[in-house]
Amino acid sequence: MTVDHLSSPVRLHVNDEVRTAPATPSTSLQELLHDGMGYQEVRQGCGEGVCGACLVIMDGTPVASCLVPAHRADGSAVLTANGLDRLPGHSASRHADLLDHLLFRGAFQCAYCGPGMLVSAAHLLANDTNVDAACVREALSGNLCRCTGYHAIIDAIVATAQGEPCRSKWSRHDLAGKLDGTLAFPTDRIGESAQRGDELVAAVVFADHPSARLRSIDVDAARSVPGVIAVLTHRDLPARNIGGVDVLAADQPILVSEHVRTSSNAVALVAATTRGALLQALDAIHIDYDVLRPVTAMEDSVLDKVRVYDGKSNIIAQFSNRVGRVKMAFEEADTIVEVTFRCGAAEHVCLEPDGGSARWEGDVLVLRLPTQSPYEARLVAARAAGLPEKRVRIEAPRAGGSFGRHLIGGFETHLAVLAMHTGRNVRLINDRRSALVHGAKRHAFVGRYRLALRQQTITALEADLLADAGPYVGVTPTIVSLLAVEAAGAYDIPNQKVVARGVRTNNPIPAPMRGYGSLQCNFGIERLIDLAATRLSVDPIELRRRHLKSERKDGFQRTVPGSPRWLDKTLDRASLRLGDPAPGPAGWRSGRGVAVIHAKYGYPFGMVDRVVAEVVVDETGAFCVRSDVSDSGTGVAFMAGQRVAEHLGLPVTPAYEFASELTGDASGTLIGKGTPPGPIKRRIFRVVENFSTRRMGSVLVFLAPLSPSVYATLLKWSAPFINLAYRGVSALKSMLFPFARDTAIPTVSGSRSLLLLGNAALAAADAFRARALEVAERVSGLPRDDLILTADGVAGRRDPLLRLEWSELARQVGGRLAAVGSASNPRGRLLDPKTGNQTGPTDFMDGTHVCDVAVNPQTGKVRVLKYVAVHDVGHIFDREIIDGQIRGGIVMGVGQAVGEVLQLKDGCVETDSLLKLMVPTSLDALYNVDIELLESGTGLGPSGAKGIGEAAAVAAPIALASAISNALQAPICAIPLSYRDLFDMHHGGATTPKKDLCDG
Amino acid sequence: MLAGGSIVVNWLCMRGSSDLVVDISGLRELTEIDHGKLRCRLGALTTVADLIGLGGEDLTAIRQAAGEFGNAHLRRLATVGGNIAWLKGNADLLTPLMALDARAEIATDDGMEFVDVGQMRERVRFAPVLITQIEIPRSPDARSAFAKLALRRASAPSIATAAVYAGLNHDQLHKVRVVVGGVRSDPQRVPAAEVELEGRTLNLDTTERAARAVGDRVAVDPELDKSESAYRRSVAAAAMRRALDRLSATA
Repeated sequence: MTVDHLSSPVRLHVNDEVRTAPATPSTSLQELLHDGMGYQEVRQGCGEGVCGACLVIMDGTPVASCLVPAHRADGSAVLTANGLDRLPGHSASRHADLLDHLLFRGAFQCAYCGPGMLVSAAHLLANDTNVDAACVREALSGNLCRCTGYHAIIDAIVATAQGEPCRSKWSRHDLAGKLDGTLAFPTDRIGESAQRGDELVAAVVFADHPSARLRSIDVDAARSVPGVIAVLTHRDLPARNIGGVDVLAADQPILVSEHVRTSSNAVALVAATTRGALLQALDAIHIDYDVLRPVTAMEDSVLDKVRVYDGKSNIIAQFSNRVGRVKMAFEEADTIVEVTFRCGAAEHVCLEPDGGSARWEGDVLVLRLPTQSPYEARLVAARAAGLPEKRVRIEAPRAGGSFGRHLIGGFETHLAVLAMHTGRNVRLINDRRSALVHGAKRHAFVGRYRLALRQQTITALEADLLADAGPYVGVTPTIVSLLAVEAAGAYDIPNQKVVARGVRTNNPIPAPMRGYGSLQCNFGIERLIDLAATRLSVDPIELRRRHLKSERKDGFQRTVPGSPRWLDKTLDRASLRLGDPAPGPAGWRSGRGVAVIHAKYGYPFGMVDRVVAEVVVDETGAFCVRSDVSDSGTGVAFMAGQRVAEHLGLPVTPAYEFASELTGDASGTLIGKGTPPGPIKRRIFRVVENFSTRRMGSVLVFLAPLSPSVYATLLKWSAPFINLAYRGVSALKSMLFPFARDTAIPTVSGSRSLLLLGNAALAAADAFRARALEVAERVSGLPRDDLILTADGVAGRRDPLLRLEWSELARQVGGRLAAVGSASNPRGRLLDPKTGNQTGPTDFMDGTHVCDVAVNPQTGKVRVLKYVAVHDVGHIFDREIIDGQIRGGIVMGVGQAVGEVLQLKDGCVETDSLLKLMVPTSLDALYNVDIELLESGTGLGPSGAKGIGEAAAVAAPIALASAISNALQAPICAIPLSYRDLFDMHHGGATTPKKDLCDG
Repeated sequence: MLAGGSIVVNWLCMRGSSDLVVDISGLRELTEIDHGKLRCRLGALTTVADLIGLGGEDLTAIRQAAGEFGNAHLRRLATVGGNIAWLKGNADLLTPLMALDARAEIATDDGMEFVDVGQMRERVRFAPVLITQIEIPRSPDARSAFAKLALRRASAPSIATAAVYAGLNHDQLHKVRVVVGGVRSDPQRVPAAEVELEGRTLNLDTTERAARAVGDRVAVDPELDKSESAYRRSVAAAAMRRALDRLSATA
């Protein structure tokens, strides 16, 4: 018998409305409010009272509703974030002020934490008359924010308390909707089925071991639980057992059939009518394993003695970068620095749990997912369900954080097979523990470096870099390719021999994280230069300055005239702003650190990377910008609307809408011409796509185990042919499909979205202007030259009485006036035919972070005394958004350096709760950050703007590691570090924090 | 027995079932605070947030421990009874309560009885009991202080905690009790540190001697490796130093 038979009604006064819904003894107040009563602003987060996403006011007191049994709240008065204007002591006008201050400052990005933050803020404002920053930090100590680093949130609350007027600017309608729950996140319940309550709830049974052979799975008892609709194992799958990422290889199963290769593997899926039945069924599943010894160390894996995947080589990717005469440079060097650096796996900590829903609309399966790769999700989901792709539609609503986590999927196949098997609508949410223990992690990295110097000048770099791929190919080759290109970081080093490889292990499946490998390789080169400076007793800033890259190269490796890099300016300004060293507390060890980062934000030259956007006005006169770039919380979607508003002179920023029809037709024919592509064109498109990505990728994976010298030679010889093939593909695509998307490339990929979506939106705005004038010309009978665009529509240039409003123009063309524009990567070659090296990413984010820190030698605790961040952002569109990105990146980055340690043991994640993973809280975040933004105008985005999303998260851990290293006078060769590591470094007196952390 | 309810609720929601759960949150009698001159009685369901409002210099350690407990929201849900009976992890309130010589009243099958809070865990480990209240003896001339060192400043289990209680007689400390938590499963008194403080005036020298005594003599979990033991001892000494600094500020 399940706990469901104990279900009884719970009556609440929610936002002054009497609501009743059934709850079992194990139903939490959060679950009741969100799932049972439809209050979407009461969000599921951690389930343990740490993140505050579920915060409500119950009988006057803020409580984490995930920790309150629903029945305990029976009869209580509950205020959610949407009812705070009813809170005694907190007037409606003050609440409106609070919202204005938050929105004006762009205080949130993904805003999943927003409603909980609002509850804390309103309660504080209602009960405390002396609100200052310190008490706000305390009040928010149980609300985690992963995006903006708390600063703007706290600032907004203090400003509200002090009655400061809010300078209105852009209306952040995207944030407003996220805060009040009207914009649904992927894990929210939507649709009639959800409202009726006949949507199934589902869960995944993950493997208990990282390496094992399945002996048996007993699901009979689970299937007999009343209310259980499906318990699926690999035997029950409707089609091929291929899931995961299928860009370069189809090697990951949806459900394990024989070999467990990682604890990220799913073994079974369960769907039930109630949560009680679901949980009882999960308890009733018994799995027997023959446990095998896992391969967890990359250095062991690369030897290829014990193979992780069916006897195939462990080496699944290899890229190199060879320039000049490395051997000779090392022979002639007077100083050689040789060190091994490591970056551990890291957890993205998206506040929204992994999850989504599947629903049937007729015979079309609609998946709502937090995906950055909707085309890929559609492909693998359709294949898993055994459906043609046209019968699968992807909706990618705003996600509660991503940071790269949703570049790879997983549960879209689980949802698809469950929906297919049951014929029902299904909702699947993996709880926080599952996300931590079984979810994807940032690629762990180990790099063996050698640096040659002659007369204090860097002459050569040799690096052997390894990235942990987990057991499957996934997207690791793309990370590895960038490791090779970016190994020298911000520096011009004339002689380089870099070999980067991806290797299979039994560790959790990896996903890129904020920087797509930039953190790993920038950490290596920056630390290496610090060590070289120490060895030579020279100023590390001066050593850097002498070698900084100063020019931008195009896709043919030619210097772009008039487009200098401002790396030196960021370094100079940062050094100047930091000033004299700050004194630390008595007895603490102080040190200064620096990180100059040069992190990509565009995709590599030569790739057919295009974004399509549409500007639409409807017959109500409402504007909208549409594209297939989903809003993963970066603010980039809002930015696109801003650019269109500026470009067309609109008074209100258009809303942004995810264009599902684009993911249904990657050829872009539908959005471009209004008709779907015919079967022949669709076939041609598929063949071209398949050749340029999957086939080419599988060849590279196949060749990866070759020895580095043979591989490099092969690549050099084949470079002209590969370039020609890619150019051919590009030309063919552009000719046949002017608005085609590359389905292998994620639609959202950090700051690249700014570059391409921004430019596409501007192109669409231009096309829209032309289209509007064309319609107005027809309606008015005036020549186009006599018409001008105004904020309200089209007006006569010489006839002020002629006014055609937007709504009227839309009505003239069937109720929808629209135009499409696109933007592509700059032209270039994929590989340099002289060397076989990649020409690299289209552009980079440049910046310098410097800081002074103090370390307590008795506890290992670190205090940041001063912190300066200077970034060349190209062009400033919205200072608040940029500020939030930088501060949020720094807070995340500081945790990535010290504190936020993900414990892995023998391939298993031991950090299974947010109580154990030390994500910085409002009390830990760094606030004394001095930010300067430079505008070189040299970026590839609109008006010369550059990406900024990942730059600070890449720079901060490196700057901090550099400062701590100087404070303790011991080389830091690995991150993240715990306080105990720092204590050991100090007291051990050794040059290494741990034996296995630094072997150079 | 529902101890550490905030943890159990999470467990219940994840598991979905249990043979029997009795929710005692409706027992209003267990939420009362009797703040007397000779003793302070805290109902077992007194929330940690309520402890922050406790008056009296001698109870400062409890206020400080409550202020550093979990986060702002957890403090409103977590109870003093639940915390001291929680068998896993570090129960931060136990450290100051032990330093203040508190006793817990428990209801068992055999009736009501008082046990030292330091013995609580042993009692609940083997037999189901209901904690009804915690009784803390008061002394108007006494002072107390607490310090916690954790991996972050909110929502973090402690690495080490330290609480010190002392009577004051013309600036001299007497009846000193030093308790250190976090370094092994249960908090412990550290007599060696108490000796360094007893009958002495609190100054930099005595603070350092007492902190060193904690670092040298505190018993750490025997399962910890040598390096971890050294770290825990060092952090415990730092916590002691900070607690004495705080005591000095109030004395």
